[in-house]
Amino acid sequence: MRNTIIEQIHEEMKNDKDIFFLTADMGINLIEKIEKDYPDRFLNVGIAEQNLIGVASGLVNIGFKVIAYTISNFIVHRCLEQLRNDISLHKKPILLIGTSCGYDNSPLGPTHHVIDDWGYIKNLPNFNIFCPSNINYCDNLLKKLINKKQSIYLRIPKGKFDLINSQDDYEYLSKNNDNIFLTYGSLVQELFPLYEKYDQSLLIFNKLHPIDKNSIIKILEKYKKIYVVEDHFASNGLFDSICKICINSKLDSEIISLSPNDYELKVGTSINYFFKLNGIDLDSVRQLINK
Amino acid sequence: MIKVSKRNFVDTKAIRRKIIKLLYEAKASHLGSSMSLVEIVSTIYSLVDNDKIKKKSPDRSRVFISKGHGACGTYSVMNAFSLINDDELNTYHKDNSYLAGHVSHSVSCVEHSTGALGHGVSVALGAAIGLKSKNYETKPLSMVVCGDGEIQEGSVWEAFMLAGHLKLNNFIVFIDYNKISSIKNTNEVVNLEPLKDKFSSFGFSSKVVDGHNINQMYDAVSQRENDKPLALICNTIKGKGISFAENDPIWHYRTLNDELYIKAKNELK
Repeated sequence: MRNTIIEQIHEEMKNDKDIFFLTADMGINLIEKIEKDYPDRFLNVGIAEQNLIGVASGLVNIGFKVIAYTISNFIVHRCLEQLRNDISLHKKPILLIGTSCGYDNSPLGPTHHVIDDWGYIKNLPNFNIFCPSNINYCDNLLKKLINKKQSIYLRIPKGKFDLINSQDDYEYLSKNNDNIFLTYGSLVQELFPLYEKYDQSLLIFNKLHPIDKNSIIKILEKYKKIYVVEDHFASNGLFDSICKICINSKLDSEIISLSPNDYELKVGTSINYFFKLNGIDLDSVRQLINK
Repeated sequence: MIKVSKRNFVDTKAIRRKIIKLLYEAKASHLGSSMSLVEIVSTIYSLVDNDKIKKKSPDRSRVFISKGHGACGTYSVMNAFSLINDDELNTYHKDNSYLAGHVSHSVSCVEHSTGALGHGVSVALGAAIGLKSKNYETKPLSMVVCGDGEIQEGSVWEAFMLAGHLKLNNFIVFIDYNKISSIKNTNEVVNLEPLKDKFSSFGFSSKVVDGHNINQMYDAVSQRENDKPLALICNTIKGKGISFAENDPIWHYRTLNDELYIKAKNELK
């Protein structure tokens, strides 16, 4: 998905001379073409994320549509105050792109697990958050986002999941059942068999924030049990968002969170290791249903 | 409105009288910083085309006050350059005003809100990069005022390092070097010296100037080297012009009572 988005950036920069691409020294074998073809609208600011966001804000002041790119575990926490004061407070349009989500970087350890990123951004007014769960959602995504003229955080999971052919912000896959499973990002690939093989309804989020409350409630009110399965802390993740809209709508369904609740120091060489450890892998979720 | 003289220089004593009046009436703090940056900000607005700033022309020079707590001083200087009118300025620090105790972009002609230290430098750098990329014929500048205590923040050095690397000759940093941080002298907190050498080693043309001498700062900018960003280390006095406030850290926080206001006013006659 990352390559698709970068290709779209390159294409869009050809058409739109106001796009400026910033990287904090990330994107090897990927972004060089942008640097080569648009040297006046490309800058590697170095490994300096606070400066990345400040510079981005200054470029917006000059009139550029700015894309700031690095990996997700660096683009939020280190520069949260810059995102708050220099972007959100000023309602500045910017497209933050962070690659890797959840446990995409499994063996690299907890500093590189991205399980508490978008929840912080969600609390900044004026930000939109997207997390494409399948490659087809990425079609024309860059053009759509850059022209929204809003503050946007786009977190891109690894992989090329393509079993869903849709460009909708929410993908509702329904089965006749009392349960529905809500998920996003890399977990979609893991949990897709719930729908495909085990007759469970799935609601997949490509847009995480803000949520279209009315259309989501219309779906959720059909179910007795709502499982929110995410590779992100529940306290400020999708579970938190869903609880709020359900309470506001006086929905009395049971809402269950399946998610990590702490950082993990153990080494795991695969994403599935961490899914299993946190009870968010397919088998664990299935066992829960069968209880 | 305070009269602007020939070379676009202003009556800085009148500006200081305005500052203490506003701070006294609003029972507001940050007197020390507002007094120390008067000539620095006056120099900056002398160097730029203020009509372009008023009209928000895309090719205007950009001014950033990274030490946002110098708001009262900044707004009073902007008033002297007709960038804020008297009525608006007189609302400073009062209910329903947009003129808060830190610089705000909700005030017309202000580019960016600041207050948390270390932010304005990066934003100003981004503006300098953007102005270069646009390649305007008018060669606009991006200028930023930051405090000496402020440069204890790490992010400013990320920006300085990049500015030097890019040899951005349209990026000018004014350090309000009053030698006082938040609660103590900077050399007792984190010694900044040798500051000029630090900037030189980061690829800047750096110069130590009298931060209360507009001519000196004006000339330093006008005669700067063509292939580097410029850092002006402006020696200033925190609380400048008021004997009991000069060089005393407490005047970052303390407000003027009736007696001290009258005393300060008399000293600024």
